[in-house]
Amino acid sequence: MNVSFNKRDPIYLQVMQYFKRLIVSGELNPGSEMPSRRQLANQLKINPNTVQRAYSEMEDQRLIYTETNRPSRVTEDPSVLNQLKKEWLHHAVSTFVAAIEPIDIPLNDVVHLIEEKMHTRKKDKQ
Amino acid sequence: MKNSLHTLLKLTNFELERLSKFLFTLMGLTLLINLAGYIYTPTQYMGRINEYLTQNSATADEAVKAFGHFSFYTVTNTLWIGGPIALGISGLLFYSVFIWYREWFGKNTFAYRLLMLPVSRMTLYFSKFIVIFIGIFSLIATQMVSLFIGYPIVSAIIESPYFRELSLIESIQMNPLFLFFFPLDFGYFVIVNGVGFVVLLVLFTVILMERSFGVKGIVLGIVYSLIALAAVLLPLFLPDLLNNRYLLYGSELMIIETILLTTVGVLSLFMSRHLINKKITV
Amino acid sequence: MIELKNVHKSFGRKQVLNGISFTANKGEITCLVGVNGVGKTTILNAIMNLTPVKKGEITIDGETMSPAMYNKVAFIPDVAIMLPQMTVHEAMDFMKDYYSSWNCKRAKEIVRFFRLNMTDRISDLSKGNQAKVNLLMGLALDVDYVLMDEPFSGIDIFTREQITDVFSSRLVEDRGVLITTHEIQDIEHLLDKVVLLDDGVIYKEFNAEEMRETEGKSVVDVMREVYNG
Repeated sequence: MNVSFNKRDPIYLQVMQYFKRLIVSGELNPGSEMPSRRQLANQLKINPNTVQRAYSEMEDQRLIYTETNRPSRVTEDPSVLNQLKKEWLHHAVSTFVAAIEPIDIPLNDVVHLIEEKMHTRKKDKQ
Repeated sequence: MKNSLHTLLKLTNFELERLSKFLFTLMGLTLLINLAGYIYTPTQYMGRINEYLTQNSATADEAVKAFGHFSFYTVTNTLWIGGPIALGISGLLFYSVFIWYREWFGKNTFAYRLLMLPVSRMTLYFSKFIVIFIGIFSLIATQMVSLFIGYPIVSAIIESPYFRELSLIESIQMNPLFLFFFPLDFGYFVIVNGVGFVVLLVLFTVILMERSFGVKGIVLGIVYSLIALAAVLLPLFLPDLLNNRYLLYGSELMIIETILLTTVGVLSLFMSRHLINKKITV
Repeated sequence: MIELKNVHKSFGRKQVLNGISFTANKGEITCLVGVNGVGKTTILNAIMNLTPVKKGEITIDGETMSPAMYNKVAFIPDVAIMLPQMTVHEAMDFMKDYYSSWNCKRAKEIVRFFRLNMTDRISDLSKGNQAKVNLLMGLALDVDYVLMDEPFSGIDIFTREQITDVFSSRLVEDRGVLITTHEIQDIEHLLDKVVLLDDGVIYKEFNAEEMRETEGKSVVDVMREVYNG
């Protein structure tokens, strides 16, 4: 687990982003155990209070849940997971759209390019 | 209370361990130099006697007339005995200063650790104070033991016609040096140790002044010790100063001196406590 | 909470602390940053009653410093403070002898964490390992607050990484930590609070994460503004 943090953005948001990515990609399955706060702080070499803040924000957003005296777990609630995926996609698409905005290009060509790109990435992964 | 006594003992033991090498060296030197004196001085005397006898074909009586009798006192009156005593005094005086400064100097600043011990800082002070006195009494004891060893050695070397039969105790009593250091006369012993006690208290105060205020502290320390010295000495010179020899009785003088010494001692203690608790800097 | 109120201190004519006020909370890592000068070390010494202050007040959880408090607050200076002729083991025994807050189990844990050899003489250790021994002496005490003076200065990169690990480890858990440093880049992410100091005056006191969130500035950004501006 190695994350390089941006020094100007709140660390807790970066930690949340990191976990959201793990969850939407399925690297962290619904219901799987989260590392303890101390463990995570030590692994990421960040302040334990910052990890605490990230965890409670994620709890508030119901991305993770904690039963008393048990380690926190990733949510199993499909609606939350769907919402997260939607959000992730929405965010990615907005970034993408903002990035290609300066170029005047028909939508069809863009779709074609996306298809091609996704295809090669899948191949690369295999 | 029981707890602080326990820490005082622990710290004193710790300080004693740190003193031990230095102290054993002083004790060893004392024994060694004394021993050399016990052998060299009478051997030299006998050499001179024998030379005189052969050269002048004289009798033992004539030789004694020329050189005098040899007694154990003769040996104790030489530098072979006085030297190590002077060495011991200056050694321990040096150590009384060193016992503080070594905590600051060198690569490791042990003063941090000692001043941050969860015990009253005066415990630290007393442990150092006690250890100096343990050093003093160890050296005095060594000197006493040495004399017991020396007596038979000297009497074995000197042939009987030349030996003045002076008992060990008599020889010791004749030497004013021992009167000061050995508990021969209780009064003297108390005075000497009392004065030593107060001198050490003042010295520690001066050191703590320097450790607290730097160069300013040295000046302050010198002024303080001069005032203390003047106060204690004043009554002794008062008759001379006022040209009146009958001003004070001996016993009155004793009482005044006792009060003055006690005052200086207590004042030094309180100042040291204030300095070590509130003013000292690592 | 360690609290300094309007603390003044001078060495001779030189004023080193000129009305310092700040707090360091339990459960937080507070960092005193100063580009130069002796002020930082003096502040830690003053908190530990190792040097007198001219004016002002220093309290720890509302109390002034006393010998009993040395079981509650530990200080790790940047010079070796055990006797050089002691072995690591002897140094640990010494601590155990005098401090009721000495935690043997934790001490052994730290020895393993730092990979120290208990039979080594302190004088034979490298500078980095001597620094680790110093840390061991402070961190193995069950105290509420730990003060560290320049824990990273003059130390090789690997030791520095190990020491950095301490801050996010169980060894610091729930304690109040107050450290001083002049090089902050490597530890920015570890801090709660930053206190910027120069010429005996506090320029700014802020929470690092809050600063990132509200102004989008890193600790170094703020330092650049304060010291160059």
